[in-house]
Amino acid sequence: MRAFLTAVSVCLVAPSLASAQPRILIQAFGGRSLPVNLEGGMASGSQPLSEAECLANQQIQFEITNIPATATMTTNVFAVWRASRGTACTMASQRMPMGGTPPCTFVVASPAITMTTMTMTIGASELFGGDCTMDDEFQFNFLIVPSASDTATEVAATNAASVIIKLDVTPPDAPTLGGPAAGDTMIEVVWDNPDGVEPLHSANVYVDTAGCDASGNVIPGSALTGGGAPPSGVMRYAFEGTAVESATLNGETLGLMEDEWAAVAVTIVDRARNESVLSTPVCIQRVNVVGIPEDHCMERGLSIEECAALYRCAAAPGAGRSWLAAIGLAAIGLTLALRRRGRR
Amino acid sequence: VKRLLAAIAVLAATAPATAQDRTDAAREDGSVVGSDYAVDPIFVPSPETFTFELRVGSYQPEFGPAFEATIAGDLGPFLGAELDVHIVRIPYVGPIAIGVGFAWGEWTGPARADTTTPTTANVGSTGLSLVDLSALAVLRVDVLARQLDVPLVLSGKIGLDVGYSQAGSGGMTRLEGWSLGLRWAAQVALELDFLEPRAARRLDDEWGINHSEIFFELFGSTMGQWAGDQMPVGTSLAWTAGLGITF
Repeated sequence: MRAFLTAVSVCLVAPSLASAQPRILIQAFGGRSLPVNLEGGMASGSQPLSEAECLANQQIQFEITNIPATATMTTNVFAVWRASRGTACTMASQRMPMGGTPPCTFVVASPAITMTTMTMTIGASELFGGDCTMDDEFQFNFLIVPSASDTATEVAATNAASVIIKLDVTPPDAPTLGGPAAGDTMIEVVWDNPDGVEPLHSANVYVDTAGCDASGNVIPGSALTGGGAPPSGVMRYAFEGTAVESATLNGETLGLMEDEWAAVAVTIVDRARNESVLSTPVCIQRVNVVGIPEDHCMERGLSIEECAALYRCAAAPGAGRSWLAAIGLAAIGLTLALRRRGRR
Repeated sequence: VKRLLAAIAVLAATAPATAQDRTDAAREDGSVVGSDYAVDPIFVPSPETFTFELRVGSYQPEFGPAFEATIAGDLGPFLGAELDVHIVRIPYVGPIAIGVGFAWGEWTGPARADTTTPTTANVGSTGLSLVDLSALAVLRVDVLARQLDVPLVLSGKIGLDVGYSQAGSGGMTRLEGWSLGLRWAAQVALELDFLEPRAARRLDDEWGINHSEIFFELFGSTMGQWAGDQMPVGTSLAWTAGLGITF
């Protein structure tokens, strides 16, 4: 019985403690979509920060809600402390230098807390103390303390909140393009991603319409160089997907005339938005694609346009009436059958 | 209790016609249990009004020699369903029904690049799709199954075929249109009731399904073959097989 009561009391207390704790929501920034989850791991929703975002000191907005009302009554602030994952920094000993380097590092502090909801904007570089090369996962602890420099307060769990942010500075390896492709309004470019590549955010397909000669060979010195950095002066098409390995381009949209070539190279982008180097480029060609309809019309001695006009216009009116007739027949039959069944 | 039942039996034997009828009814529904009159209920099948068929088969439209070369023997599959409504039963022959059918098929093959500079690149696929609607008069000859205990039902069908088809290549639809034609079909069906007669009866008692069957059907269609302005998607001979129920 005692064990049962204890279990009940834990069940009753635990949610109330959780609900009293401040909560942090990271708002969308840069090209990220909501809700932003900056953790690592294999979960599809996780989006680590990239080195580029860190170096650019991308401003990240942290919306903190559910702040205890008692925290607003005095000149409390939120102090942000960085630590390894699992370290809450609520104990003073974790924040205070005691002859060695403490496990928690001070990042920044907010202005005085005046409301139960507030927003803090912190630069990505600032979060990592200006060191954007750390390829690791960190826990950022938001502690309600009397002053920014406070290291002595033992912070209650109800006065702390944390988020996990991973800094991923390693881009994936370049993909391998499958070979030349051709088509008219649908030119399918396919590639193989490196073995064991992490879940991706997207792939970028770069197109240089002046990158191939008339025989379909990549011109040396083209803007697209295998193993090189993605260029800025050529067309880029992004295709999202965690394991994207193909893209369909429209020859017309690319501005290619029939029989013209263009050079294509691909990069892949991980969830931290680190972009690989360019794949080895290949040439694609816009061609007139023919098949069943063109062959059929040729057999009839008609152009595809004449053929299409003939079939589209002539049969539809008659067919419409026939379809109505079929429905009518079915309805009559159904009625007769149901009446017959009803009489039995 | 025995005396009581004996008395009831005597009374029943000597009772007027109406009482006799009641006793017969009790025999039929098996309510006189434990007496000399206890019998299996006489099975009274529910009326047969509909036949429904689900089918899969092969179909190749006669769309020209190049089509046949491109699809290289792609026979569909051709998927469909048909509902027949029994209108009248010809004694010792079987029911005449009218039916509506729906079917779908798609045939694809590799497209080609029409270019002066030969390319080995994959340029996509080319294909033809057909949605087929039919209104049919159906004669189901079930006399073998009903009178001679041979579980075969033969059917003949004839009616109107209406098809909507699209043909395209390289991701673009180039041709589309409606086609009309005559549809015929000959079907042989094996009724499955003989495998488990009690289960078949129970199916009728509980669900009103009189018979279930597997069938094989040969058919043809002249869709688009009589008019030069319709897509010729008919075929001289195709087949389907499937499962049917009569209810």
